[in-house]
Amino acid sequence: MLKRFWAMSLVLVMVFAIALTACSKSDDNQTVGEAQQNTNNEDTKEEYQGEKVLDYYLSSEPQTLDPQQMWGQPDIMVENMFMEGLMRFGKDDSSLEPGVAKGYTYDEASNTYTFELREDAKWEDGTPITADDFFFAWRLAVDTAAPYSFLITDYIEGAADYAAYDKASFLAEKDAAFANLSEEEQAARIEAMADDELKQYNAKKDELWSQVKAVAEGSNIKITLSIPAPYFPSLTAFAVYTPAREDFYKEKSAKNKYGIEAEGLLANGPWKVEEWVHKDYFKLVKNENYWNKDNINIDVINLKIVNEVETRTNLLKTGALDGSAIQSKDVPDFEDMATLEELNLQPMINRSDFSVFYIDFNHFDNPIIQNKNIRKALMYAMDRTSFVEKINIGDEPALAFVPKVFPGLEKTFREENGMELFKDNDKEKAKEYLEAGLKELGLTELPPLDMLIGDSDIDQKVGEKFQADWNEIGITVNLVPLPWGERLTRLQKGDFAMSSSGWGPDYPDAMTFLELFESVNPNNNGQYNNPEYDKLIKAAKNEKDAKKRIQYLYDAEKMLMEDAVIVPQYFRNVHFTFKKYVTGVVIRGVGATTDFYWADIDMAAKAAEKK
Amino acid sequence: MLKYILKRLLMALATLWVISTLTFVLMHALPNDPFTDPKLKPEVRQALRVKYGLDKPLSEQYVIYMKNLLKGDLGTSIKYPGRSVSDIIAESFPKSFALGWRALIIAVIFGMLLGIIAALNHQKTLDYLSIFIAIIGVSIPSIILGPILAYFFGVKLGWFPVTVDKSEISLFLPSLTLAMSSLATISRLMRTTTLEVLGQDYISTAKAKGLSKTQIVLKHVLRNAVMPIITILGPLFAALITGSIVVEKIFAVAGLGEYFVSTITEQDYPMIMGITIFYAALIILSILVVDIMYGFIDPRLRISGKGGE
Repeated sequence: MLKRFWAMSLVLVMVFAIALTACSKSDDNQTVGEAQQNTNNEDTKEEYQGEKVLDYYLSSEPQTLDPQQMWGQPDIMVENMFMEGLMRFGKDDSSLEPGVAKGYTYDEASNTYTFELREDAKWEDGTPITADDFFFAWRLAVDTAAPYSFLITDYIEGAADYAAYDKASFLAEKDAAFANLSEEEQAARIEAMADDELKQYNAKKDELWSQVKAVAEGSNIKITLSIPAPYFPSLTAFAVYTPAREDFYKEKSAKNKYGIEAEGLLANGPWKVEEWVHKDYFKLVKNENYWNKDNINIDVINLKIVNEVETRTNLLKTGALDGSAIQSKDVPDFEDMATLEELNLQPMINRSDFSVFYIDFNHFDNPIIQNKNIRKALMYAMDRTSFVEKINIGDEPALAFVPKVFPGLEKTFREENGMELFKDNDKEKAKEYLEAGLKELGLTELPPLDMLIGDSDIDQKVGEKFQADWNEIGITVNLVPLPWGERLTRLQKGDFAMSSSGWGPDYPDAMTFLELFESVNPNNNGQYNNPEYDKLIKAAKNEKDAKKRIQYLYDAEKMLMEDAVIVPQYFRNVHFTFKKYVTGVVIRGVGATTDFYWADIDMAAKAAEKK
Repeated sequence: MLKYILKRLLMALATLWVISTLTFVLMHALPNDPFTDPKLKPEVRQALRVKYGLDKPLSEQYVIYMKNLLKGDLGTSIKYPGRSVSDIIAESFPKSFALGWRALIIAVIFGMLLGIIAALNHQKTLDYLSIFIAIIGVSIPSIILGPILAYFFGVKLGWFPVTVDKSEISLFLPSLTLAMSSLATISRLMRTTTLEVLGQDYISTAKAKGLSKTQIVLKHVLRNAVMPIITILGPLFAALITGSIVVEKIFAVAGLGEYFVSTITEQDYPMIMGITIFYAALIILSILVVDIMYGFIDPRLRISGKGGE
């Protein structure tokens, strides 16, 4: 080993010499490479009959692959490869495909969904998947207060009551004096619960769980919802709703392997995790016990963990990856047909990732920013079009709150509620609003405003662009760059005038954006408190009629823009490109963002390129 | 000697205790906690705080941590729930080490070679050339050098993989990147000390005795000029084998280096503590080893039994 290493070092010395003297030599190298390609082509062709191998990447090490506990990318992307819920994410943002369930029916009168489980749905070891596997997983998610357990407790009838009942509730029920104890005394009392008390408590918990309206009925799972949610079936495609097998969970948890090592993962999806070397790579192979395995083309998925965008680009160029996301800075490069041709790449996929970036305002103790006309002056002065042409190349100007292409009722939400709810870059109107605002405030000149921004170079550039726009109409805004944690603390304390913010969806319904400004929402940092707005959100949450429901959401968004509660900046786009021999990759905005379920690879072409 | 080593080991333990206490206090002085994320609902955040014992008073957390530490338990990561800190270190350290020892060998051999060649050709072309290489090595940081090497030798020429995989050859570019600045430092140091030694009386004596140039360099110059290099070898070794965030990111190495930075921004308390203690222990140990090595190389120190002059 050492010998070879020294040989390499010698090579390096020679390399330096070559590099310094004759760079033109590389032309010869290429011809040699091409000659090799021709000879190798024929004898490798036989192997393609074997396996279709996809080489892709993850931008970071997953935090956990315990489906119930995960809450971010790339965890969800991997989860979607080895797990499957009642339904699967479909080929576009709003469609669904059957998963462990063949399909579902909905009974409007009782607000109940019935999912019919398929008989041939199996775990990777061949044992059938049962309704109990689902119930076990859901209860586990609620018991452990998992980050996305609200997708269960907020929707399934009885689940919220089950979640809310804890040991303190039990003791308070048993002994009225408990409520009068201090916090420490309560904690001590809970700690000191006797065995029979624990038994009683657990019995009570079991009883409450039996009242949760998710039940097995033959081969069906019937779920009754506590609120109307026309998008509920799509929630069953999310990680937190996938099944978990009790015996496997208990066995692997005892060894502290569950969800954190390859051997602690039990697949029921199209692929299973064969190798997981932390922070390094994954190897997934086709799950032979998957019910739809005949329609899965890719046999092996290699996922290399690569943080650095430049490194990913290098890997793409050397053919070590079959595709990659392209960062905004490199978009012009990859728009060039010559580059794409040279690298054997398909034209870029360019789509919204459903993140909206906007400016949050202090709505409770800053008289200047609480003035609607001042906010509107800020809103109209911004030139978002030139911003996405020069600064954030490839993104889209946001002239509303809910991102482009986000699903609405029948079409996209934007198509239904208007692509633009206000006009971009209208300096005249902005000046009018500013004057009106100053008049109302009794000021002749607006004092400088502080805006919190992130501490990266990009944040700074974004801030400076809009700062210049505001300056044009006579508003001075000072940028206050802060590290993320600190900014968030100040936002949550309400210690700010303006702040740049962003939000991505938790579930595929516009409510995930619009409920942010409900007065009780924990992420309503500006503490916007408008009873009219709250009424619309509440009405939407309780409306069974899908048409009426979405109308409330349309109105809510219009109110947000009309009041300039926040000022939208831009909708983020993501860019992907794949090698020409890869087809059928689905890129979506919610859930698993990159999906190879329908993908196929022409291995002959792949091998030809590699040589 | 044994007594001396024992004394030093005890001192090392005390140093470790001071370092870990300081780190504990400092990291908890940072605003926020690891669960500062708007996507986590307040109830969930609270549940997580309770789960990791962050709801307890700081003094209590400290006592709990130190008790566990004495038992050799570094706790579990917060960012990667369920994974123990010692497992994470044990998994990623070998990957940094694999690069580090190679980098050290490259740096020491080529650095010394360059330094000696420069000194022997004092103020001649070779001297200037080696100074030039040294300046380039010191002034081009790995964040620039890495991508250049990766692009030129990886993408353009296709001689090496651009990331580290299972092959030996893939370790070459990152090791070289990692080695460059140390190589330059060593070569400059070597040049200076060699020049110094060359001016000594005993070299003139050796020359007068009629020894050949090779004999003089190998027997007299090298042995005396190498002392300062050994002094910096300890910390250098620790620094190289624990990895560099820059090199590891550029070449996608699943090493330890990245954790030095990421754990702090993520406020993964047990990981910050574990990594710091591990790194501190490594440095202390390597300095100790170097001090002991002195004695073998320089007999004068062995007799006096001191740690250094």
